[in-house]
Amino acid sequence: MSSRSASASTSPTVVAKNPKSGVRILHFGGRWTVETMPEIDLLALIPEKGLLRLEAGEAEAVDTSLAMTVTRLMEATDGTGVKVDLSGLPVSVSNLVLLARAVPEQDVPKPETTSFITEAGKKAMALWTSLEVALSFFGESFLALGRTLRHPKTFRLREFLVLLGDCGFRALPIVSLLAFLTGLILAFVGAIQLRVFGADVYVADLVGLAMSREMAALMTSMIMSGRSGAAFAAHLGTMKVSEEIDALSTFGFKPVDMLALPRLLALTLMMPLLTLYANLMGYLGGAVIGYSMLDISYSQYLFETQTIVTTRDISIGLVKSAVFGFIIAACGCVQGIHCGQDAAAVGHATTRAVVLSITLIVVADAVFAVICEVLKI
Amino acid sequence: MTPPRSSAARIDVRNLTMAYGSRVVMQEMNFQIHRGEVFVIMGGSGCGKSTLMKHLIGLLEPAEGAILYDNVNFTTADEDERHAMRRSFGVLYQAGALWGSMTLAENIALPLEQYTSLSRRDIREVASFKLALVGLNGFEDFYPAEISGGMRKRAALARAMALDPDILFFDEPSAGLDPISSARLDDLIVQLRDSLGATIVIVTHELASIFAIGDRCVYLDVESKRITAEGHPRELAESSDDEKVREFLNRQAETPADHQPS
Repeated sequence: MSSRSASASTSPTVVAKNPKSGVRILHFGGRWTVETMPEIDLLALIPEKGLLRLEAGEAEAVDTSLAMTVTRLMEATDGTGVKVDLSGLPVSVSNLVLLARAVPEQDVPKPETTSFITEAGKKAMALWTSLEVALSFFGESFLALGRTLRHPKTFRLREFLVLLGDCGFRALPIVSLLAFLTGLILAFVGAIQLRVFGADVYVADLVGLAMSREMAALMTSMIMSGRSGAAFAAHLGTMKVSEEIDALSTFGFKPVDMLALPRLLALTLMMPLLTLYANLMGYLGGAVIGYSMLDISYSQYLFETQTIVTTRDISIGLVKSAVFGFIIAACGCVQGIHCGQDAAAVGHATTRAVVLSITLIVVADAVFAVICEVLKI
Repeated sequence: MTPPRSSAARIDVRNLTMAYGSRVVMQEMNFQIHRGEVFVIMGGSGCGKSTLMKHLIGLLEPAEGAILYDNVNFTTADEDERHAMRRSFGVLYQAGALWGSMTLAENIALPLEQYTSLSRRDIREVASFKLALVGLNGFEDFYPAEISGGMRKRAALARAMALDPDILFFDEPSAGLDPISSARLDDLIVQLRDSLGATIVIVTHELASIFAIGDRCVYLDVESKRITAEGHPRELAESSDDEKVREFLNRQAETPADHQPS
């Protein structure tokens, strides 16, 4: 049986009666449920003064909707001098109405309405604050390094080794795959162009230089910021939410010494190693294309790579990667330590850590490009 | 209404105003906590009880006023002085806040490694002893995630006691515990006070705990943003001038159900 197909008698009704002057009775009948809320203009039925008696004797089903309607009526009569009599309503309804109206008036803080200029100013101030936070973290981390060197006993070696593993060999599979494919793609794109000029063998030069100087460090840092940077932010953020960082502080431990420094060191140390490995995988990817598309033998490819790629090229990549590693770890740790107090804040912190670190890496790479150009290296 | 200063106060809170930015949480608070007493900070939800505790342990800075420990100003102390003063604090956080990447024994060992010159074996023994004090012997090598909430809280208490503090702060010790565990924790708190002679500061709104162990309490009133009552919980429940404090301590509320429709 559906309530919609029911006859008119079960749909909600309101009957207004004026038994004597100054008294109006509103009689609610039919089914008053949330599904069958009527669209009746009840406010028009309110008398200007006198007694308003509400009745709902025969209502078949009554839920919140009648209580809501009555509450709205009573709110409309507040201060108009109309007296509302609820005694004709079922007790459950009148109790609900009283409960709803009994909520004490609180000065609910109004959300501040601000102009565009105020908002812009606040955003700018927030940006400035986050810059200050980043700078003070940068300084603090060097102080932490100094403190730890003076008191090596405080350094938690076992945790550091675990971190080294996390930032190091556990990332090898994904680094292998992506570096190999990067080499492959570079070689493939290069091959199409170089074949036109019969300069097939220079594919090795292209892949070798591009991987050593740029791509190995960039690709590895992208992987690591998604992998370790995000993990740092989420881990430290969760520690912040569960008051573990507060617990460290009250024991007099500095969160930067205990949490950030091992992570900064681990990633800064591991990034160059991963990048070196990524170089090799990239060359391999290039060699596969050289062999299969251009008929360059592996030894020929290796020889060509050796003649063009110098230690200097590889070193530039490695130095960059160490800087990128520091950037990734720093972004992750700052966002984690300065995370808010709930689960959503951990998510935001993680997002910010990854976005910020990738942005800063690209900016830093551009700075490196300029430096290399100026120094002619 | 500044109370008379007594040199016996272990903790002296003077004219403290707490604020988040421009939003004042509580203002002009004055109270003293004496050595060896179980002092309860109570109040309705969201009144700033935990915020007050964070001020007392120096995680948040007062907007105004000062906090003194043994008549030494903690608020104006520099980082090193504070560090020294904090060594006498033990803090039990609401959810325990054990370090998740360490076992229970390592959690307790960390502060010991930092501040004592004990050998590794002695540290392990101290950690086991502290765990035994809270009834967790045998759980040394468990990780916090592997034990129940009540055990985690007790383990956190063991960690809070690692450095034999003489002030213990508890943030909602019975939150999330069943009545039996929370009663057992209350007993434990009193035993610790009696055997260690420690000063205990508890933030809670659990009436059972307040009456069972509280020597003195302050009531933070969320509407006037001030302390509206101070004294022994039972006396306050019977004869406080403030109706809200009596209602709070007697677990009464003016419910609309009292107003039957006439």
